[in-house]
Amino acid sequence: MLQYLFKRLLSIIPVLIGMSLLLFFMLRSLPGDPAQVLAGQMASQEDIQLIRVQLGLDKPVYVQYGKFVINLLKLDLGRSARTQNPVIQEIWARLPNTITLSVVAIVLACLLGIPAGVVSAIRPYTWVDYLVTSTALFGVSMPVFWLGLMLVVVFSVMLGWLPAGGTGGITYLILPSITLAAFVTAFIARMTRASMLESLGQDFVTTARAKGLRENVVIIRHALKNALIPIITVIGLQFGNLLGGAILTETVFAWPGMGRLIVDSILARDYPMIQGSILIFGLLYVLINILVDLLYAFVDPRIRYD
Amino acid sequence: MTEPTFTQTPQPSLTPPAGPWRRRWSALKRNKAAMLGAILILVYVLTAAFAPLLSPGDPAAPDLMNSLEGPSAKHLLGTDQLGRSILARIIHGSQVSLLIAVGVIAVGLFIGVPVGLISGYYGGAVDFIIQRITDMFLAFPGFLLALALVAILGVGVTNVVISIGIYMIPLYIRLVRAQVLTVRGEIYVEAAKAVGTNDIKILYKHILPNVMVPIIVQTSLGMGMAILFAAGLGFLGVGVQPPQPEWGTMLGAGRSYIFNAPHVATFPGIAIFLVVLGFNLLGDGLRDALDPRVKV
Amino acid sequence: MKNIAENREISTPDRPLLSIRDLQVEFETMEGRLRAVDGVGFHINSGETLGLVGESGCGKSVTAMSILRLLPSPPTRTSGRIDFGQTNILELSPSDLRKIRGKAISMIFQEPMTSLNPIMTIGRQISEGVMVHMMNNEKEAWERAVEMLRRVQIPSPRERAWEYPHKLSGGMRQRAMIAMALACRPELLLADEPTTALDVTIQAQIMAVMARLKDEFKTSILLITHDLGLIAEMADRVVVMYAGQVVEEGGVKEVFKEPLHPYTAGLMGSVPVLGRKFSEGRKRLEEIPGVVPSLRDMPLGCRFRSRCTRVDHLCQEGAPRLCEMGSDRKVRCWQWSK
Repeated sequence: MLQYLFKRLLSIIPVLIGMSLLLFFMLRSLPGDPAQVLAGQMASQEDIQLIRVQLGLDKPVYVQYGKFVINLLKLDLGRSARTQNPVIQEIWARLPNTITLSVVAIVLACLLGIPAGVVSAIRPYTWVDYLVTSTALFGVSMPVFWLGLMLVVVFSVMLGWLPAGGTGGITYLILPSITLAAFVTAFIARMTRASMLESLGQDFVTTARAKGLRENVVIIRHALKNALIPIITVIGLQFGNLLGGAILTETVFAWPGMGRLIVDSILARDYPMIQGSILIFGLLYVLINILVDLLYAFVDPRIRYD
Repeated sequence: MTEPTFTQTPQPSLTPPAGPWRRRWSALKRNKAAMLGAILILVYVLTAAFAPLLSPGDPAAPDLMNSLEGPSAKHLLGTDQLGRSILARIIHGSQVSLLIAVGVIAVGLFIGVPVGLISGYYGGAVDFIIQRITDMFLAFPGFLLALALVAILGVGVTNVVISIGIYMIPLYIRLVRAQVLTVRGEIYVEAAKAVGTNDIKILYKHILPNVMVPIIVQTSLGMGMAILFAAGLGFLGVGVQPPQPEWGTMLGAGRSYIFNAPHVATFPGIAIFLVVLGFNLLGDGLRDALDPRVKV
Repeated sequence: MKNIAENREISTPDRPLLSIRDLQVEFETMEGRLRAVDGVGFHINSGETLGLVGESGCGKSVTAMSILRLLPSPPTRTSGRIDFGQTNILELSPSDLRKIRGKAISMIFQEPMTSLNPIMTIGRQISEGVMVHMMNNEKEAWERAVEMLRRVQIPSPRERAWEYPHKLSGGMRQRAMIAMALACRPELLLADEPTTALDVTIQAQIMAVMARLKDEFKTSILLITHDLGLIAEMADRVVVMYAGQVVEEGGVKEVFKEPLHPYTAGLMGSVPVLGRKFSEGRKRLEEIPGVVPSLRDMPLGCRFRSRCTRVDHLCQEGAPRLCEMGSDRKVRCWQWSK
C-alpha cells in the first residue's frame, strides 16, 4: 500500500515538471517584452527595468527557468499586475470558495448519479431506464452556463425563491452547486449504468445469487462494489470537467472563486495572476487524481497488494 | 463454454478481419438514437450551408428602436440588446460553431492519430516521451487548458480552434495508442511483420482499419465537446468576438438582460444544446452499433 | 416452505431427491424465441452422482442453471417441473427460493477465476452464505469458513481466509468454490464443468476432494461435463444430452459397456483410451462428422440425423421418443423403438 502510494507520488513528478515548463514558456511565448507584460500596461519604464532585473531576463533561458522553479517552490508567484497584491494572497482568498462549490457539487453528483445508474442497470429497457438514460443524455449535452442562467430565470426571476448570485448563506450555494453538478451527475449515471450492466453479467454475481443472498445484497455488495472501480476512475477524470465547469458557473453566479479570478485576469491581461491561477488549478487537479487513486486502491485489493 | 467441439478446429486468421462496414451500417440504421442524432446534425449542417437563404434578415443589422423585444411574428425568437433578430443570429451562428468543431477535430485527428499510432506501434523511448508530453497536457482540466491557450494566443475563431484542438490532440493520442496496443500482437500484424512488410504499410493497412471504430466514436463525441468548449469561451468573452454571431457569445451578452429579457440567453442555449445532443446521440449510437465488445 | 426439510424426509427412498419433468427453457432474442432445453427429464437419487454429458451448447449447463433458477428472466422462459422433494422449485416465491439456494442445493461453476468476487476475501465469500443459512454470528460463520477451507485441503486455511481470489492459484480457487458450495451441507451439489478450466494434474486433485467430501457430507452430485473419463470415474448413472434433449440415460457401467444411442457411441469413440494403438485400425480416436444443428433451425425428425451413421427413413419422418429400455435405461432413437 505504502509502496503504491510512493510510486503514485513519484509518477506525478514528470507531470509537475511538464506543468512548470508549460507555464514558463506560456509567458515567454507572448508577443512583446515579458517584463512589459508582467508589469502590466500602466507600468512606468523604471518599473519594467526593475522587473527585468528581478526576473533575470538578461540571463540564459535555463537560468531563468531555474529561478522560476525555485520561486514556484517557494510559492512566490509574483504580484498581480492589476491589484499589485501578491498573487498567492489573492489565490488563498478565492480558493476556499471554489473548493466548497466543487466538493458540494461532486458529492451531489455521486449521491444522485450512482443510484440513478444502478436503478437504470437493474431494470434495463424499462421506462425507468429510459427516463434515466435520456435525462443523463440531456445532462451531458447542456451547456453549464446556459443551465445556470435558466435556473436563475426560473428560481430567482420567476419564483423568487433563491438568490441569483453572490455569496452568503447556504441558499447562495444551491443554484451554483446544482448547475455545476448537472454534467458530472449525468456522466456518472451513464458510467454507472454501463459499469453495472457489465458487472451484473459477471459470473461471481451468479455465484452470489446461488448462495441464496437477497437480491439487494447481490446488487450492492457484489455487483456495485465491483462496478465502482471504473466509476471512481471516471469521477477522478470528471474532476477536470468539474473545475472547468466551475470557471463558467462562478461567472454565471458571480461566485468569488478561482474561476472568476482567472477569467477576470484574462480579461485584464493580468499575466502573473493568470499564471498563478492556472498553476493552482493544475495542482488541484493532480492532487485530486492522487486522492482518487488512493480511493481506487481502497476499493480494489488487486491494486492494494501488488 | 470452452470445451472442444468434435470436428471444428478454428484456424488462426492470417488476414485482418475484413471490414464488415456493410453490416455495421445496417446495425447503425436500426439504432433509433443514432438516426435521431444524425438527423439533428443534418438539420444544423443544412442550416449552416443555407444560412443566408434561411435567415430572416441581416444578423448584424442593429435596430436600437426594437431592442430586447420578446418573440413575435416579426421576430420569431425576439431581438437582442441591439435589436438584432436572434433567429437570424442563431442561424448564422451555426456556421461558426460547426466550423470550429470541424477545425478542432481536424487538428486532433491530423496530429493525434499519427502520433498515437507511432507511440503505440513502436513503444520504447518514443512512446515514453510522447506519453509524458501527453500527461503534461492532460494534467490540466480541458476547459482550463483551452482558456489558458486563448489567453496567450488571443481571441478569434482561429485561436479558439487551435486552443481547443490542442486539448483534443492528447485525447486522440491516448485513444489510438491504447487501441494499437491491443491489435499490435494480433496474428495478422505479426504475420505482416514476418513477411517483411514495411512499418508504414502495416500501420496504414493493418492497424489503422482496426482502430477506426473508436476514432469515429470519439470524433462524434468530440464535435459536441468542441462546440460546448467554444461556446463556453464565447460566454466568457474570450472566444469568437462580436459582431460575428456565435451562440456562446450571444448567451454571454444575454446574461446581462436575464431579468427583463430572458429570451436573449434562452434561445442560443437551446441551439447549442440540440446540436451537442445530436453529436452525443450519434456518438453513443455509433459505439453501440460498431463496437463489437459491447454487443452480446 | 418451513417444512420443506420434512417433506424431503418422507420422500426418500421411493421418491428421488430431485426430479425434472418436461423442462423447457427458451430465450427471447431479436431473432425470435430459441429453445435451448426441450422437454428434458431425469432424476437424481439421494446419495448418488449423476453425470450429465454432451457437447457445448447441448443445454446441459442451462438445465443445471434452471434448477436454481439462475437464468435471468426475461429473456429466459422456463416451464415444466423441477421437484425437489415435494416442492416444485419453478413455483417457489423468491424468498423461498433463496432458502434453497446455497442451503439445500448449491452450485460450483466452470471458471474459478471469474466465479469468485475479486474484491472480497475468500473467507468472507464463504461466511456470507453461512450467515444467511446457518448462523447469524459473524465470528462463528468465519470459523465455519476456515473449517471448510481446511476440509478442502487448502494449506494454512486461517491465513488463506483473509486472502483475495487473485492471490490463489486456479486449483486453490476451485477448492474455495467447493468449500463455499458445501459450507451449508447441501443435499445436492450442481457441479458445472468443475475441472474444465484447470490443469490435468489439478483436475485429479479437485475430483478427489469432491469425491471425499461427497461421502463426508452425504451430498448428491449432478456432475456436468464433456469429459467421459470423469463420468466413468465419478458417476453412478449418466444422462446424455444432444441438441436440448436427453438422448440416453442409464447406469454408467451399462452405458459404457453398450451405448445404445449412436451419439453416445460416437462420443465414446472420440475418447482416446489408453492401450489402444493407431495401428489397431478402427479403434483410433474417432470423430463425429458434422456439427450440432443450430437452435435457430432444428431439423424435423431426429435431431442427430445429419451426423448419424445408422440413419434410415424413419429418422426423417418423425422425432423419436425417449423409450424405456429395461430398468433405468432410456434411449431416444428409432433403432430401438421401431
